[in-house]
Amino acid sequence: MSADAPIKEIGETPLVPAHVDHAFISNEVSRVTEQRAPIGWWLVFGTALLALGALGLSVGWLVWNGIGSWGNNSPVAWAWDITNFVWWIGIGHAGTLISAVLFLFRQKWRTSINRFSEAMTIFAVICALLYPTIHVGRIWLLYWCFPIPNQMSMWPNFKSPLLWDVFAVSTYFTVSLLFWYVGLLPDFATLRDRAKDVLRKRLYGAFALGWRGSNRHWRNYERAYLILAALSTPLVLSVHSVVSFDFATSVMPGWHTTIFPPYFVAGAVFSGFAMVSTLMILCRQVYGLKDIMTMKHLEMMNKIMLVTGSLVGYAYTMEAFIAWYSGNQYERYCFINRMTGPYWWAYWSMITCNVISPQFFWFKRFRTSIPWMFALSITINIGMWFERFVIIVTSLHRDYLPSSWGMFSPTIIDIGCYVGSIGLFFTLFSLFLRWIPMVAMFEVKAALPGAQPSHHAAHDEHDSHAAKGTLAVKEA
Amino acid sequence: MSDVTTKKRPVVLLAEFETPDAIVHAAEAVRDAGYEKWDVHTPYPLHGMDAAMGLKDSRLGWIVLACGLTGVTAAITMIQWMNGIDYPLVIGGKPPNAIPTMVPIMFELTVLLSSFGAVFGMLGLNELPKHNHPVFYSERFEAASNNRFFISIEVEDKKFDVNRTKELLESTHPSHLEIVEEEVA
Amino acid sequence: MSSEENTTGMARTTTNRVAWRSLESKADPSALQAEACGSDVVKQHVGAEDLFQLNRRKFLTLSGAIGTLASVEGCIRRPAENILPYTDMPEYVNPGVPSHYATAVSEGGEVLGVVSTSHEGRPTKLEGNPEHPTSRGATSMWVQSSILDLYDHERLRAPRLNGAPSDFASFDKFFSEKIATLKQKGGAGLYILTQPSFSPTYVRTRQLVVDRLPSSRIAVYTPVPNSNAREAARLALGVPAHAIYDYSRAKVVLALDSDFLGTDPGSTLSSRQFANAREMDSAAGSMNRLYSVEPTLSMTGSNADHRLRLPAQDIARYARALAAEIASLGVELGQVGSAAKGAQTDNIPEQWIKVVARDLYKNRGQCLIVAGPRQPVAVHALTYALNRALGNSGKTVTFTEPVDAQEPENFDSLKTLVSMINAGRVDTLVILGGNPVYDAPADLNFADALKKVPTTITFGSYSDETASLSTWQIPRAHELESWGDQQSTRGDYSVQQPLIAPLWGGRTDAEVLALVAGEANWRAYDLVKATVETRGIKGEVAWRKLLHKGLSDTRFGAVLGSTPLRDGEIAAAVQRLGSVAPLPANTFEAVFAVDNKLLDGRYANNSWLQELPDPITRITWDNAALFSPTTAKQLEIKNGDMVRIKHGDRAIDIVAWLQPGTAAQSIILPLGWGRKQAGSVGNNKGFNVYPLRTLAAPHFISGVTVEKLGRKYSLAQTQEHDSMEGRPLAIDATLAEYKNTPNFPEYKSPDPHQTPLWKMQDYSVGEQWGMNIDLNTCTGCGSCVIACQAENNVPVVGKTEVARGREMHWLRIDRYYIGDDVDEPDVAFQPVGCVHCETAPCENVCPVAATSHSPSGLNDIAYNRCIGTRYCMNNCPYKVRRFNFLNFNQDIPETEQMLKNPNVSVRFRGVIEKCSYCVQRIEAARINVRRQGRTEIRDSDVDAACSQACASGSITFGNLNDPNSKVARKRKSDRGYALLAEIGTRPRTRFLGKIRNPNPEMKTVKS
Repeated sequence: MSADAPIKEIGETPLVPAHVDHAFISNEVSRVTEQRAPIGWWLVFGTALLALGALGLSVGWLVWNGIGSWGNNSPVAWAWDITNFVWWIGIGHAGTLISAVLFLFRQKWRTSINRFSEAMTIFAVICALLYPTIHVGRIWLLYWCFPIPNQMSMWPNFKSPLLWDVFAVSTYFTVSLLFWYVGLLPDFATLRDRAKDVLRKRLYGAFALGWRGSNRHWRNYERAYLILAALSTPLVLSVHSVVSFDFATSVMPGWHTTIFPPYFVAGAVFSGFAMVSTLMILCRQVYGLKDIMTMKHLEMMNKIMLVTGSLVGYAYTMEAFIAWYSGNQYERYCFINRMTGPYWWAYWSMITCNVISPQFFWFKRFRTSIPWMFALSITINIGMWFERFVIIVTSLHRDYLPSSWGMFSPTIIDIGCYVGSIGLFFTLFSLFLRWIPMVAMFEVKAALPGAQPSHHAAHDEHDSHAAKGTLAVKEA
Repeated sequence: MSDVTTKKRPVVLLAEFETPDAIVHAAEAVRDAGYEKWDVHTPYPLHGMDAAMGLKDSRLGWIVLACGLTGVTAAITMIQWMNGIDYPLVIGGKPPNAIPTMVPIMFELTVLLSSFGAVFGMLGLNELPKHNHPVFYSERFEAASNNRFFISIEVEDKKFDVNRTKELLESTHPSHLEIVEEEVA
Repeated sequence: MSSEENTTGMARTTTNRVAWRSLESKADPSALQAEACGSDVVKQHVGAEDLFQLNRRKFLTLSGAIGTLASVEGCIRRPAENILPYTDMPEYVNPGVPSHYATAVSEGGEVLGVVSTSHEGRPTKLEGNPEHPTSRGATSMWVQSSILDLYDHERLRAPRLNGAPSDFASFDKFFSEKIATLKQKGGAGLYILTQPSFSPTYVRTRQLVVDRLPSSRIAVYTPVPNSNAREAARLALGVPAHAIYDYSRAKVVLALDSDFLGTDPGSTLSSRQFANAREMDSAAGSMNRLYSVEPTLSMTGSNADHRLRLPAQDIARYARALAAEIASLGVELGQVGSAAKGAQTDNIPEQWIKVVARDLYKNRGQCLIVAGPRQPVAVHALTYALNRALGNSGKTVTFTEPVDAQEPENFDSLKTLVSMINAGRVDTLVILGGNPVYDAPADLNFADALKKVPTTITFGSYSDETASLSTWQIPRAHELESWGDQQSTRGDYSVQQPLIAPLWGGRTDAEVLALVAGEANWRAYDLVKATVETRGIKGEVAWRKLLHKGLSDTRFGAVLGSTPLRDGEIAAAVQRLGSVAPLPANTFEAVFAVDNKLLDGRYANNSWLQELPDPITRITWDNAALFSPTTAKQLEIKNGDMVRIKHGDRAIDIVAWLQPGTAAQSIILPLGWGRKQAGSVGNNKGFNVYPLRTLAAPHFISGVTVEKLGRKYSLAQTQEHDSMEGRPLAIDATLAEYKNTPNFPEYKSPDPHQTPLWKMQDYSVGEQWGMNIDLNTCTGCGSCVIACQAENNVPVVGKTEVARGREMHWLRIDRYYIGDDVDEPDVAFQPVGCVHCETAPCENVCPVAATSHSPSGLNDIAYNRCIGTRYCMNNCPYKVRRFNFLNFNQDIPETEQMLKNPNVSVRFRGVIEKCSYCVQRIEAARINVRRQGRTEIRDSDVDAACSQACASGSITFGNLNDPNSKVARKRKSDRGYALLAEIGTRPRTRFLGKIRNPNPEMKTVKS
């Protein structure tokens, strides 16, 4: 928790303007859920619903006719389905990273964006979960993936990375959800207390669980939050590592790579931050929350994108180098094929979007220009989708035996399932914006200047820090 | 307080403050006065308040540890029994009970159960959900989730005495002070 | 039973059979009808029960295939609505225990002895009859897929009169009257158009017609006859004869436009013999050498050690030049030698004359020169002369007397028939099989002629192009559902047993001929029985032995070893041959090729063959005009371009395909495609090239022109990449290299043998199944693929799905081109099915453990457990796992359901499937062995479908722990290697490196 006295952002300038006080925060954030939705919201929500409909149709068609409705084939048995899965999972990671890792590192600027980046995480993971579910040939037997006693008295194969996935992703989803909800408790209380009509009071009251800001509660609450953060941090790293095991533990050239876990995590954070800033920019515009989600925040995000983007670039170079260095002709061919083969365009758009485009963020001009960062964040998300496409499709379509080489081309159902999942995401997200405080009010309040008692005896300090279990760096 | 004889009886003495500093000092005063059944209500966690109230460290950590250990043991036993004992199969020529392949799931289950422990442990220790609490009878208390700070002292407290407690609180210069009463059934 | 009981029993069989049939006629006024729609009647009656009630004791004494089969299938083929259990269990039928019957099938120019497997009376699979010399237990893809033809639900089901449904009763009434009227004129105006046949009964009945209706005429026609060889033999020997070759005794073989490993008659036996002479047990051994001179890359050419691309028209010249050269080496060729002199030899590399001649000469008495059906009579005659001069007579070449002496196996009789029709002298035309409207030489305009005939009666399997134009269409019985007999070119005599009562009624050719001749006992059974008697096989014991064994003990058709060759005639023929000048630049010759799968088009409606990739082009569901890459470049033609090929006023539109190994200036046109009335499977697949084919030039035409149409046509290939990319996959070496490094394959594809991190499974005990595939003898023919399809209920997916890469074949044959010259690549074939890795990557990744390892080393799949993540498919380095992307087994017609192997589940959509090493056969063998009180399974107990079908014996399957098993012995070969060994998958299927045997004296030169 940012339980520290006045925020000292990197540099001495305060993160939020002076006129922002506790009441202002409550009003600014709560009003979004209390007033009528702005036209912008309806636009987003409407389009999202349409896309969601497309998803329904495509999935229905798919389940009714079989996986053959997609373009998947032999040798490309996985294509857009798993590409989209990995893409969404990756996007999800930013939320947890912001809420957990930045929390542990006491990055107070996170407070105004962690709420909806966590929301993004949850919705992204929901979209991700869609694909492993529908990509199986016999979806009605999917429950065999779980250790449930059944008539065959058979158990899942715990050696399969796919099963690790099942556990990793579902755990990730559950923990993120809990983390999110715990963070929401005090804000639900705020909405409850502000509520005029009974229904709102009842509803938000029910979710607030009777929270009354008791300090005896805050004590356990903060400890719980801290522990969740400490748990989520390794979890978020593990999830994408496990996802990368799907590929790394196989024998396919281009998949069988030890660099995958860190490489995937970096890529995940990268794409996640891109998605967060896309959404942030939208929200600020639509709801005019420029005072809460400030340019400072956005610039901070862009810096992280620059770092992770370069990390990803390093990974690309490294795996290509190792392929050459290994002297393994199959590995070598795999990478030559990625760069010069029939799918060269995918590889090079990946490089352009993921490695070259973030380099703009070296310059403050681009870091602080809304149109630029918006364009770039979109570009990066496209690039990260291509990364997964390159890894999956271009590795599979030409593997060991040239006799079995083939090509993949998507069908309308492929496209429907992909666009549809984006629809699902934005539907959920717009509902979130409409009914749930998109900024963690109590955290922002706690981080405001003068929000904390100014001077105490040192021993108090000591205890209190111990009590909060904070790693806080206190100002003198 | 004149109508103590009526059908209403006081339950909580509620003092409202406007600044963090004020409430901290007030809390320290109440702490030193040796009250036990009292609490501080803030819109966000106040730094140093635990010390000011003289509260001990949270016991949540131990609950989480227990859950975590349960998770890891559950994972090991489940996988070993299912793949190694109950229905062993030769998969890729590997031993059915191979340990390395179990690690990811061991980890996941540990994290999962730990976080259950953290969340539900927290709710348990806080005795939440609890939708009825005397402080909610106060109109002004709604500000506790917005921008005001409250101290509530319960009538049940041994040391509670309407006048003396009132004096004690007044001495801390609250912006507002009220006795919250409830109907007697 | 003692033989005496037999005889009585069998005596009853026949009499009783009649009695039973007459029972039908009781039930139904018209005995004939009962006969005619026998199958339907059998359907109506509740199987054999009421027969039993009539005189059960008598019936139960019946034995042999006839009664049992008829009754059994009667019970089986009752419609599902009112199906009943056996109230009286027929003898010899144990549900779940298949029974086997020996029979024979005719397959374009040769007879193959086969054994059928029947489940509860439904034949489900054909295997070669190990006793039979022409098959020796092996089968061709055509035999394997003929079972699918039998069950084709689109076969002609009942007679049709002018296209309208009719029935046998009215037809028989009409027919008998018709015959009667014709009889009065001695048969004048009656023409019968038949196909060449190896059936003595057919010959006998045909003779009856000739004798009894002297003025009737009989024409024999087939679109792709082997007539030139026959004519040449007649010319050379003065008597009709078959030339019989023994490739197993030939050290050097020269194939002149001959595809003896592929589409030529008897390729099954040829492949086996060729393999025998090519097999290498150790580097010390020796192997044969094959020279091939041909315009198109045939199965034979792709297996040759040296190959010369030469337009079909130039091969005669080459043969003459070679003959002259051989003569000059001091071989006695007499007049032929001098006649051969003076052939023009430009565009023929000199070494191909000198070196090849020397090589043949060096191997006198153990070499062989064989010409293909496409080549003119004189070339065949010349090869006979050369073979004799090289002392091969009686060693690698012999002549036998054909079953049908007067068979004029060429287009002449058809030509006469058409002229007769046009002269209005044909009143009634009876067509027994064949499809002349589709495949007769274009300039005969057979369709128009047919319309002029007042009455045409076509006996055919389908309502095809010909049948639909005739007055009467009558179902013709499939040879697997009717009585008949066949005599191979070597004189092995077999009787064909009906494996099931005719599905749609139907008559055999012999029956029709007998009816025409007015035979009283015109039933196929009686006719065959009579023929057998005339052949000196008398008495029930002999008869049953004949049925049981599947061929006669004695051979018929004398071997004409001593007959001298008539040099004069041959020389004259060679003289007449003249010396065709090479094609001038920018002129092309069109070569009509028998299709590698559909032959002349008779298998067009067979989905198995349609989907089987062409062994060379890997194209499915289509044919294409094949161009050599250089010619294509010169014509600016790319793969998939539509082209119009013109000759005079005749033209066809067809898709072009660049085929390495095609002779420059030759355009290869595969016959048998573009059918319009073949059935839903065969209709409009590929392009019909018959319209370009004329009496004058039925085999190849010079001077065709090619014109691009600017349209594209998409073809579906199962393999789109031809190069091995320098990877050690189908590993080969020359004989010399082999002798230097006997373990060259392991050297090229090293096995890491790394010590595992864990304790490996112990496979040293019990049965451990394994397979060896010898690339040295594998010709890539593809019969194993069809055999696997038939055995394992592998579905067909159709062109669009194949194009999407979703073919389901459990076993595929990879075909690679080696070498830099796009026009003259070396070819390597490699059959790849699941290799059953001991450390299988596919097993590790399955989340539900649907695929795991059996104690005997099988990589099993539990279809019921599979949820279809396709992860195993991704992680299989050999890409042998197939996924049911859609429901490929939807709405299978009732008849085709009868074809399914009951021991292999039919897979639903969404599950993975792959080669199981025929686990159902292994388990069946296990049960049998146990019942016989034995412990271990031997080679004789079990064989995989693919290895059983393989004619060249390249695939061996068995128990690795049994030191006496073929597979264990083959495992010792130094040529053995594991495909992609470096991954460490420890596959159970290992390959044996291919050896090429080039002649050191031959410099590789471009032709």
